[in-house]
Amino acid sequence: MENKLRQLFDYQRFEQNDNLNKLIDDTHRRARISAIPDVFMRNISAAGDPSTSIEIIKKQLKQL
Amino acid sequence: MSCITEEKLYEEYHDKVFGYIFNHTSNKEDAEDLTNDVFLKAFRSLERFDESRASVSTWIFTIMKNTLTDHFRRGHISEELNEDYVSSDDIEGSYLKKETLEEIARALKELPEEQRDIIILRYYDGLSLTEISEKLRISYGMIKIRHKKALAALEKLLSYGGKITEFSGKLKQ
Repeated sequence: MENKLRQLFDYQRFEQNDNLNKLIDDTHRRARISAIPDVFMRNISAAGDPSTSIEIIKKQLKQL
Repeated sequence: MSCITEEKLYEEYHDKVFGYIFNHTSNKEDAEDLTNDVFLKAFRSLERFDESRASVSTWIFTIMKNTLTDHFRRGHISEELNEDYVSSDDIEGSYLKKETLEEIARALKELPEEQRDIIILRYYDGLSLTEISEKLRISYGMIKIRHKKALAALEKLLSYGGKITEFSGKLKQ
């Protein structure tokens, strides 16, 4: 059970389920934990233009 | 065979992958390179990916985790891209899907705040019970009791619902 919870919360860091994020934020507020890293994570934007990057990846694939 | 296109896959998951990897590497260049590696592997495996056996999200998550693990094992030295592809069979933890996150959210809401906080601090933030005790300024003994109660309550809550839950593996009538 504990291991599954760890994995699920790790997966949550990836998926960013809104309902879970709200509960996490509430806990952090009560525990006065800085949420800055997570807020930053949620607002993080892709580096560069995604449409340009996908073309680069496709080119790399062809070269392999 | 998968119906998802490379473009859709990239559009939907690029930010999530980059954000997760950046959080673990704290290095933008590494995160960009590794994100590219993840999608190269995913595109290479896409034709063989079977959506009926695993969700796209879990599949990408697995590729990403494997890529990160390889990165840290190599000591951050860049090497040729691994030739292995990730099939639906390689994915561990079939409970790792969006629906399970919703289930967890619903179950956590049922818990008293004091128990919910302990679960989140322990399993999301990775704090020990001692650290939680210090943070919340509650005795260690009390934290330990609440932690045990919270786990038992969650186990019960996640077993109900008239369906097989990935957690308990029990079929409820």
